[in-house]
Amino acid sequence: MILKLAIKSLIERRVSVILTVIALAISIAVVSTVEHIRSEAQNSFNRTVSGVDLIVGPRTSSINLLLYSIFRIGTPGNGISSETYRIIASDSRVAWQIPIALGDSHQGYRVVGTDNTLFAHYQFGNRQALAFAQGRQFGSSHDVVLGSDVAKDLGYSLGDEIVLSHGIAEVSFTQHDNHPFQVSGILAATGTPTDQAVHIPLSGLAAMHGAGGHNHDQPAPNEHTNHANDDVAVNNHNEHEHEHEHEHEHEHEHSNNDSQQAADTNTGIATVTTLPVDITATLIGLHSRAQVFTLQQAINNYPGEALTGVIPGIALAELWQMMANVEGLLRLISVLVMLASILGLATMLLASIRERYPEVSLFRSIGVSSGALLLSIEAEAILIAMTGTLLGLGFTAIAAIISQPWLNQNYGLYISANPISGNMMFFIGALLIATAVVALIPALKLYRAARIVSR
Amino acid sequence: MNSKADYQVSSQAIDVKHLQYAWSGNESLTLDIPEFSLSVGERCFLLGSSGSGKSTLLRLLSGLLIPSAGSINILNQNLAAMSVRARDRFRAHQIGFIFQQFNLIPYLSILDNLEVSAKLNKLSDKTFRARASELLTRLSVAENLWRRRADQLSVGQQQRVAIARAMIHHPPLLIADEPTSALDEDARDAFMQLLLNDLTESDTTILFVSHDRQLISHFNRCESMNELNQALAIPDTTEASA
Repeated sequence: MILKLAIKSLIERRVSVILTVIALAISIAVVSTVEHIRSEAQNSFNRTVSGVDLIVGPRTSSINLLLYSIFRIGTPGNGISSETYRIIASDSRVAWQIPIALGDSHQGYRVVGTDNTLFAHYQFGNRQALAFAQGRQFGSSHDVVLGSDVAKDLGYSLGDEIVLSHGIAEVSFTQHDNHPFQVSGILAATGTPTDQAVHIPLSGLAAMHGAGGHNHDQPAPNEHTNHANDDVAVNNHNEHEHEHEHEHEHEHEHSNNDSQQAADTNTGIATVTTLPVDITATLIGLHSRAQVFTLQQAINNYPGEALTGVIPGIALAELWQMMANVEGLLRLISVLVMLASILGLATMLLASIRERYPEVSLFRSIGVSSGALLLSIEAEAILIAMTGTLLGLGFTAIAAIISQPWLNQNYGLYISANPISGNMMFFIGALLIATAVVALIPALKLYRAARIVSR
Repeated sequence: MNSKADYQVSSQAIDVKHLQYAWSGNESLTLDIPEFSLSVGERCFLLGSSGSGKSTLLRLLSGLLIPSAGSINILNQNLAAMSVRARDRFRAHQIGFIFQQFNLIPYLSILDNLEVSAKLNKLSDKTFRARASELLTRLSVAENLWRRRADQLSVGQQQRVAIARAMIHHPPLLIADEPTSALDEDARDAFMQLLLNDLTESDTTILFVSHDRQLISHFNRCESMNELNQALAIPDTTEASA
């Protein structure tokens, strides 16, 4: 009965009630948008990479390296040489590594030069491997594997020919039409920046940039690859130094004599030890995670080239650490905005108390208790707060749906439409309690009026 | 109060003895009524103009105020001995009120207005609906108005619905405070007819307060605030209860 009366009373005062609800909805929308984007960004970033133990790139800040190698945010700096790549590959602690060469784009989507290791070892979310929705991995240097969003947005299907352009702008002056690509595979959706990527083999990238000029389309020498991996795998720590030197010498000789030939022979389609092009970064998986710190240290101190080794989890933690102050400030602003709108609600109710005196007097005469009248004001306040909350969350959900494609394309963020999280529930709970407390001001005023009926 | 006194007042609907009331902060008395009683089923006209202390008396009788001195027994219950909450319940169950104006919550429909009283008296939905349609029909309130907002009704219709609101739970005591002063003559006569003959059972005690002497003829007993209230002898106390 109290609830019914409260609703009817609110409808009676609908103009001021609607304004108050809107004020509250806006503040809730601000709070929940900030909170939602923060938690979704964190969630989205955290689930983008999994299973990669170390990211190695040129000397730069660890956050920068993480952002451009994994999230494709920002412009990559210098590359790392294929020599370095080879040395890392030969390290006994390294189980696999995924070369990443960035810098090109296709209709606004990043082109990622890589090899088949990506499909074999890259993981996202809760250690899920990449899966093919259609087709298969690279078979020749003309193959291209599309992320699910790219295929969907550009309407590509298996077998389609694609001409890639140089540079990362959407419109490019130089088109590499001398080396057309054909869609060999389309990945299943992952909800990570992988969906936005156009993957081509490194050999294809080299051919596209005219590095090789002439290129061979022969399939990857898989036996060789496996063999090399096995070699590395069986090497133990003691033998490492020796092995390293040996490999180094061999490589030296090799590159001196016929580096051009080596680039051509190793098509870069599958795992290779010599790369046809310089790469932007390499993602490394280790046999034992316990070795990650010693390898990171070795990479950071590598004399041959200025390198940075980054442990994804630690770099992410650094990123969140950096964001913590901003977050704290946003939270504080949110709380203040919410407080202001609750006070607005209380003011609105307080202003309505005087015009309620006749009905208070009537209610008291027919036996309605003062406490019930106090509760009715509280009920009105809570109803306004809940309506405002639902409306505000609705705003946020709609904003999330609308901005999703843009955030996705520009920042690789995947924002769900559902703004209700544990944190948000806590916020809403706090809001309702604060509303109930602040509404005591008008409620007690009405209560006192009810105790001294003025008819 | 001993059991003999209880027995003696058992047939009284209203029993006021040595009642004195002064508003807090005011030294002089607003009300001073040595004795006033109404037996069950009695219908009494109480003549009083504004400032005579009648509003204060009605609020004392309904337990909204507590006397400064003396005793008030309503239907053999000593209101002063009850808790605030118990007095609220007592008022809801035992007393029906009709006022001069603002008898209905303007933004509620007629049925919703009646439902507030019904719910306070814990009437079931079924009982409430049956009783509401019975009363409204007998009061000639057209059924298409029942779901209309109360403030869309004419004053005459509102006063008739006020009777229904007051009588929905068969209260033993009905207190009417100038219920006809906003009505024209025709509406007033119709109202009095409905109130006294059609809607109230013979055992309903009625205290009808008005300054309109024309209505005295409808009652078999008439009292005057000027005679009841000894405090009126002192001129400067009359302002307080206005």
